[in-house]
Amino acid sequence: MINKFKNKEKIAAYFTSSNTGKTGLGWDDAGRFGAAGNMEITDDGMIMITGSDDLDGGGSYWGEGIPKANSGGLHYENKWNGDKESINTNYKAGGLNVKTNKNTLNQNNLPTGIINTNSDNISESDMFRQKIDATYNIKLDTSSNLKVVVDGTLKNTENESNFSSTAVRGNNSLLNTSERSTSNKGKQQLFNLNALYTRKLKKPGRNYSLNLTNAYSNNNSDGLLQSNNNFYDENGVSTRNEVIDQLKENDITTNRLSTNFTFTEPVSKFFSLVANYGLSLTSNNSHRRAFDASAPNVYDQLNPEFSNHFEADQLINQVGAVFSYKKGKTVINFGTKTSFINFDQTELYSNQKFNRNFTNWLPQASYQYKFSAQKSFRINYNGSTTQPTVSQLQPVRINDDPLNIPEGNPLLKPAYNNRFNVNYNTYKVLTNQNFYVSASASFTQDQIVSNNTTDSEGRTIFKSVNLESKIPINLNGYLGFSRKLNFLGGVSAGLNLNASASKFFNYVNNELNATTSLNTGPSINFNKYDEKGQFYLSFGPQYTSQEASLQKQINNKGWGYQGYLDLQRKLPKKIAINVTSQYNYQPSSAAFDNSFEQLLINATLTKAFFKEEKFKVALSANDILNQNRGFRRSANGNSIIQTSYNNISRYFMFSLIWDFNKMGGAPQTN
Amino acid sequence: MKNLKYIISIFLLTVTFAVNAQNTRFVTQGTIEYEKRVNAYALIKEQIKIWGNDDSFYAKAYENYQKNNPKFKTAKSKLVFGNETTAFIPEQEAIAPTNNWFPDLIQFQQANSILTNLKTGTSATQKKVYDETYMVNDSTRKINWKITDEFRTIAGYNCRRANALVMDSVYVVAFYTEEIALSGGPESFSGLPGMILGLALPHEHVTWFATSVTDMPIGQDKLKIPTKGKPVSNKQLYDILKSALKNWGKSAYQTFKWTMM
Repeated sequence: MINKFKNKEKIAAYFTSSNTGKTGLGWDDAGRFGAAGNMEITDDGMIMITGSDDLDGGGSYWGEGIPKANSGGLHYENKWNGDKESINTNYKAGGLNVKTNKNTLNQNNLPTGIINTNSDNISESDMFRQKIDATYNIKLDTSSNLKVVVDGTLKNTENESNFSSTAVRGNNSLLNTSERSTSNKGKQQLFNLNALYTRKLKKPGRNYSLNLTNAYSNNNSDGLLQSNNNFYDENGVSTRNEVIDQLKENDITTNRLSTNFTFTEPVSKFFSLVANYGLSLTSNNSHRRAFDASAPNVYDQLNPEFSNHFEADQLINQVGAVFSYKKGKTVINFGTKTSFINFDQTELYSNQKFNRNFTNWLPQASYQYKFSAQKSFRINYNGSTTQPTVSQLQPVRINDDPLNIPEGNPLLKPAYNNRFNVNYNTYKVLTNQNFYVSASASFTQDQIVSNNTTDSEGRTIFKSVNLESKIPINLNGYLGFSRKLNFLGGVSAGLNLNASASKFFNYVNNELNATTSLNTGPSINFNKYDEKGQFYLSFGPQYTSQEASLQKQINNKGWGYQGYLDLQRKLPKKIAINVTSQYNYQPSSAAFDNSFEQLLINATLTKAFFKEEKFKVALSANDILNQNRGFRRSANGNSIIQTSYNNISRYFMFSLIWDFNKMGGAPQTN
Repeated sequence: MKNLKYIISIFLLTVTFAVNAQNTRFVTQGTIEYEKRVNAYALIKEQIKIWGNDDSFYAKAYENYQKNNPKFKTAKSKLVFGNETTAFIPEQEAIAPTNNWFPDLIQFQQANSILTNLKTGTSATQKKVYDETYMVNDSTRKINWKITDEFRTIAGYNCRRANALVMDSVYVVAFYTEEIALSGGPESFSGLPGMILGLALPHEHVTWFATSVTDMPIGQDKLKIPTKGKPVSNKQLYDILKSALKNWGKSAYQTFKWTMM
């Protein structure tokens, strides 16, 4: 990283290269680089991080596969005209390559029995992206401000994936096999413009703001789909073979223009109103074409079944009013925002028109009482309408996965969610005693749920329907107590208890399935922070239970254990040591016949030089016991899924870190 | 030229004060309203340095504070005096602070209600230390004041400047008036040959200035403060804080200083 500062002008450049999962700059580095422009702090002190970047802080790597990342950037900022005008601009370019090897075990619970699918997926993805952005801020006078943000992105992607799966019935007889390979090349262009004008009026607290946004994106891709599927009867005799060999060409353009006007009026000393009106227009043009081959590698026959061209316009009018009352230790908020949506779509090949109107409600209410700065109680309610997505209403016919086929439902209506939240916390500063209890509950009316129909060949058709007869529930609770123990040398000890329970529904071959899940467990933790270092240790058992009503006997229940340790210590001679460790045990169950246990230990030893510790030598070892395996278990509708994948395991790294304020070298990784 | 102007204006001011001081009536009982003003911008900037987090996050939080809050944070309090006794009582805020990053700074708070007996030189202080309330019964702080020849008018009273150093390191500037014949003052500052109407801790960015003085008879029932709290002496409070703040590092110093003040 190179930095140069001159008065209020600041220029910085960086380059990073890694195969350790670090893509771009982390949070600290991005701050030093001067590009933390995406962080906002709201008026009531909340931190909002917006528009996080593909290439920064983990980026588009989510821990699956082995990544290789290169990225570099330039930053320039300046203030002039007595700090009334400022500009902040960045150019970033980066590439990310991820090789993934993934195995999935899926148990599909059907009224007639179960289907077990074992699938392997080997894939490689390549991405190269360039982005340029600029933020210009001007204080027009003492009471008004204008901020303009523009950014443009060019992105090239390439994906290749080989997939194979075998499905068997509950009695272990072969049901189907699938082999599939896809390759895709894509080009994406993005452009965003946002202008925000704010003005404070004479009366204290009275102000308004006007926001204008234009967002454009174009996504162009083409790829080959080749798949071969075989279906078998109970005796293992092949009944049917399905081969797909197609070229896909997609061209999707979206343009959104929106404006929002917000007005804040102090009605009295303690009572104020925030009113807003917004108008937004989105036009979307998506052209998807599939070509069959007339001769090997000659894809020139347009396939009408899997080709389509949609043009859609969406107009949204939003009005809102939120009142707030603040007096003494009480804060009350209530109000609603309402959106009127007009959706208009035409399919050009068949000339089919599709129009829908929706009204979405977003009411809110909250009550807070602050006994003191360290003690408060809060209860709040939020309601929201979930509008069906276009693909749930009228999905584009896609044959990418011939065993899983989506189907539209034009009769879908919006669902309505109710969420309640209560929490109470008290903190005693001098004894470092903390007590925290929170609970939340949510209910959904007319929830949009999946209705999956699996036929006798093991193919599943996905369709969304409204759940009218039942109301799904989700409950969460958390309780924590900790305090400093003087007889343990000032170590704080804590006890936590968490519990979550949920009941959700879906349809399987038109039969209602209820999935009940429960997660609960206590944990204890110890921690101490002082100038010489810190440590944090937590450990506890966790009970997990998942049960689908259609297949009660094949459930996933049992006690697991989790532990975590973080130790940082400053030693003499500017040497510091940092050890983190994580332990995870998941038991075997009726659904999964093997247990899972993993202990990860990472350690770093750092030696700093010079007075200001600007030069550091670090030796780190990641996953010393070489136990890091990608592993995940989940229940989704009537399926219980276990996924394992390759990821970064044991490695050793030696790094030299040289921080220069004016000019300097770059961090080296090995 | 600038210097000359300055000297002239000081000279003129001094003359005016001298003239005013001619016809005085000595006040022995009444009420003083004080306004405490904290230069929040300067204080927060300094506080961020003490926390050692001079990074983009705090810079942003500071910028946000500046956008939504005035430079000076004010708070009101009153001093009731009569019969060789003063009662210093802070006023509660009408709206509890909402911004979660800086308003809890100890310098913004008014933690003390103080009843001082000037005859015996003792004070009873109800002190709020975060969530705990203490009742400190001890002798009044002895301050080694150096009286200067600088004068100014505060709330219509002719005041004289005095300087001192308290708690080994805190520089204090006070303006007292002999027209109010009690050796009292706001917070724990007193001991001058008259009432303190103006007080500044320049390096701490905090001032207290009287906005009004009401000359009226005060009954004994007005000369009291809330008495709830754990009874301690200054020494005991010092020890409690010392053990509680042991692991706080650099930021403990500010808390310590302001709690003991």
